[in-house]
Amino acid sequence: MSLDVTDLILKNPSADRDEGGIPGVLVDGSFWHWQRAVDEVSIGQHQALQSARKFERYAAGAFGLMLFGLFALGVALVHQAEIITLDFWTEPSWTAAALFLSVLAWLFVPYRLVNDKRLQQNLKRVGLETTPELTTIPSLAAVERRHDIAEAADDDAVKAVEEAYRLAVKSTHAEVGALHIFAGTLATTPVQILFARLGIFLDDVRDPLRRRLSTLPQGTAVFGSQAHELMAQAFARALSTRRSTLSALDIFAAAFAAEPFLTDLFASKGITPEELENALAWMRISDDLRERYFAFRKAAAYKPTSNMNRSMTAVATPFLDSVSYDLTRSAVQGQTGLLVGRETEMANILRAIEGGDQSVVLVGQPGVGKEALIDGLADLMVEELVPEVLQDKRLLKLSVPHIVSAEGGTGADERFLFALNQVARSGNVILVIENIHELIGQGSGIDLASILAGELSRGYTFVIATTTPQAYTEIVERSVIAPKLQKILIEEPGRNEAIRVLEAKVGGIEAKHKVIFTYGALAAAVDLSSRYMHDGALPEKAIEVIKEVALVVAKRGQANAWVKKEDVATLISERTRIPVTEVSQGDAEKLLHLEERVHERVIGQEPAVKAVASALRRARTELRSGKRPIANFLFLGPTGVGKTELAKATAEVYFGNEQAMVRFDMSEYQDQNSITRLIGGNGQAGLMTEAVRKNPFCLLLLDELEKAHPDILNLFLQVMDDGRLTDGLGRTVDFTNIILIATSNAGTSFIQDQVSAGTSLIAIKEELLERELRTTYRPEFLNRFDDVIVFAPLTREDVVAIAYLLIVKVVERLKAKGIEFTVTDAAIHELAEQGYDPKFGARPLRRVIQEKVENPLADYLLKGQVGRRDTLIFDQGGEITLQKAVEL
Amino acid sequence: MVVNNVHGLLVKTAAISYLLLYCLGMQPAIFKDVLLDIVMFPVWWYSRGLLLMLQWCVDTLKGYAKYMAIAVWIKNIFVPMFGQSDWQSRLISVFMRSVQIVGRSLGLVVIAGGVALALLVYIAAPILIALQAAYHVIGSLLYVS
Repeated sequence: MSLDVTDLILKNPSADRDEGGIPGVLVDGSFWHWQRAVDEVSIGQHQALQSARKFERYAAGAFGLMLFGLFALGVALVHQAEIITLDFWTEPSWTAAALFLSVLAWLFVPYRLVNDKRLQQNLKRVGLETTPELTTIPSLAAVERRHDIAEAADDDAVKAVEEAYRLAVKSTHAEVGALHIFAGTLATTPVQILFARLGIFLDDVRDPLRRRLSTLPQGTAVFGSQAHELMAQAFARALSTRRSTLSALDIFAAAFAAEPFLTDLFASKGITPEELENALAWMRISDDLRERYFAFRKAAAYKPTSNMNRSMTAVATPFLDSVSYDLTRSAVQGQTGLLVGRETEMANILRAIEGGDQSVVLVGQPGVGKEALIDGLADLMVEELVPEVLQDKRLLKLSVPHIVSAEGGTGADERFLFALNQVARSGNVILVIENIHELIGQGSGIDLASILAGELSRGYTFVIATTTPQAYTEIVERSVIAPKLQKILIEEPGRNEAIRVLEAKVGGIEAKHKVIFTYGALAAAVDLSSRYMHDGALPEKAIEVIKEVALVVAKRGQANAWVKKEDVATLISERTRIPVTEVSQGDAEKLLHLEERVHERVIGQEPAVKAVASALRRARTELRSGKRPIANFLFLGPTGVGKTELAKATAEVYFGNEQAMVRFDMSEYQDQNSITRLIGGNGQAGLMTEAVRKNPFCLLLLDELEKAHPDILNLFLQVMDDGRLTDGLGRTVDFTNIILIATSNAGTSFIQDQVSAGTSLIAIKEELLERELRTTYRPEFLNRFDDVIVFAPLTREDVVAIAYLLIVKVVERLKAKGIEFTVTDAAIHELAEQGYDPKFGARPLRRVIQEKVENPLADYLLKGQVGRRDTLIFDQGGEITLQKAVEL
Repeated sequence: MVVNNVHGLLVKTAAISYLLLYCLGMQPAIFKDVLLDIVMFPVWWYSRGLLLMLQWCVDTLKGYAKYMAIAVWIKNIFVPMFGQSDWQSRLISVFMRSVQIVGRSLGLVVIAGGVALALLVYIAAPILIALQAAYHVIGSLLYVS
């Protein structure tokens, strides 16, 4: 039975504690409480007794050895060959006495060993017929059967208690409380290992603990009712988690739960009570796995591995054996991993089988653990812990490819029928068919699935099948075999369950690569793979991640290296191309000064630049909903004012290069069929979905949005809302790590008029949203954008600044040739004047510079009069003067 | 003869001095516990120890009974072996099963014999050894004096 441990711990009865009462645990009619006295004298005595007992054993052994030595000596020196005569043994002699005394001495040793072990109670023998109940009884006379919790405590637990007492005495505190006991556990090895796994340094905890301890009331230390109650809580916890002894970890957990200060302390280190519970489970799991392994090996000795069952009623099934894989045999041989968790699912499966002798189909994503569940079933069958209908049977996994390609019969359908007939005759086979959807539609004559359905109706066997959800709805549900199969849904395990699966698996990986995992790494593997990796399912995704990260860390060359959360984050960042690692110093600098760097390329448009930069900052500090793109923007304004330039600049500044921008011109997607080009269809991938799939962290730029077909606009509605799209190949593409920027020329004339009239940008925007844009875009579509930003037409000053930027580019190109190039301010103003047209933004300026600057320059260069280190000066009116360099 | 005497003397002094040294180094309360442990040795052997031994015997027998699977064979005595249900096979099957049952039961009897022997040794050996030890010690003391 499994008790909810957190329930047990949180129901702290100290609120209604009766001052005179004795706290303890009532279970199976006995009352357990901490009887052993904890004070200087008792501790000393107890320790002395322990060492005395230990000495007894060694002394007896040594004594026996010495006596035996004397016997041997006696034989060698005195009696020699006499010992084989009867006379020697019937005559009293010291040598013989030595022999017999030595045997007696040696018999003493196992007596003490067994007795000492039995002095320590084995909690597993507590039946747990009734739920353990934390109570406080008024006096010991009230209960008949009593036990001492101290007898059930292992050495570390006792050490923790003694350390706690010593600490209280040293600090002259009045009572030994939860904090002392907590501090006591810190001295034990299991708790130190726990801290190592959690990635916390003991010293980080000791200082705050010490400060807190100094606030406690002074007095003569007493191991009083507070401490007794804590011991009772720890004991209840040990019982409910089916431990065989009370360990230091149980005491640690009980102390943690009893003292809110500790919860805060751990929270400050990033460990919530839930995470702590998972880490404690990790400590338990290793012990459990070892025990289960031994119990399993014992049971496996009784299970036959040939195709014969124990009552020899089965029939040989050679053909069947050749097209199948014996899971029960491989379980006996120890080749199946032990299943962790999934108790509900296993119970469902067993119930379904037992209930109607019915076949079941496990429906779940690949990687969710269907195969593990079936292996677990094979293990249970080996231990015979299954309903009668599964007992003394073999679990065979049928291999469809083998049936299709095997020899014999005239076709796959005949061979399949033959195999099923062998199942019928054998009487001790249960079939497993993985990916049962492969069976449907197969077979040259009759469909294999129909054959199976027919045989299942005859009722001599049933089948355990697996399939994926998609295959189930598309293929299996409509097929002839559907009514025979009871559907059992196997979903991804929850976060904590997935972490426990990893905890069970990680031992083998640690041993193989000689690394040590922290708890944080396991939790990160589950969280990050769940959040950012969309191919595959938990727990397999996370298991692959920890396998790979173990390899990476092991390759670094250090023996027993620790695998931390950062290592996992780095691996996942590399795999998914999404930055999930903590923001580094360099990154932080870049993010905080994003606007400045963007403004080096984009002139004006403050609100737009600010909006985009803020969105990026929010994204990297994870202050956003994970179910939508990082940000959706709509840039409105006349042509040539910098809408596209801003997108390019952001891509270059933040993502590192302009190519990190994925750009689509909506004017190419004006008809309905163009959807298939974007997202794919008919078994083809789409341009946009492929681009985002390959590069999930990017900037998606949609130019001239008003030109797109309405169906395409609906598509983007879904992207902006849901953050995902299904492409033509049926895959879901994740759009939650993109920044979506749409540009549109709609309402341009309105904007230009209003700007000339002097209306503020904000008023213009409101007017646009309320009225002007209604004709072009649907209101719910506009609503989806995080921000609609109006780009103002360029002013004269803006154009001058742009002219400067463009000229700088020319200067740089000439510098590459070793030629200095300067343009006078007057010339720049002139060019700006010539290139300025409010209707066309900055584009004319580019043409002007081309005509008026670059063309003449080209002519000049071709004339060959300009050499390296010369300077060209461009002045008003298009005058170019050459300044020859000074001779070296 | 002289060597024999000296040898005997050695044994005596070794035993006594060993015990003395050990006892001297202990606190009285602990000494009492240790003394109790030593004195209770035979008591334990024939009470708690005996119970544990009996438990082991029962467990071992149970384990082998399960391994021999006699119950399974008896339950299936008339079920045809290897699924062959013609009358000849059934006859052979019943015969085979009877033979198997007899054989396995015999095996179990042998195991039981072994277990009984172990139990006997457990009960008898300490007494015999103690008696022998006493005989030799007392006899040697009397002889020497």
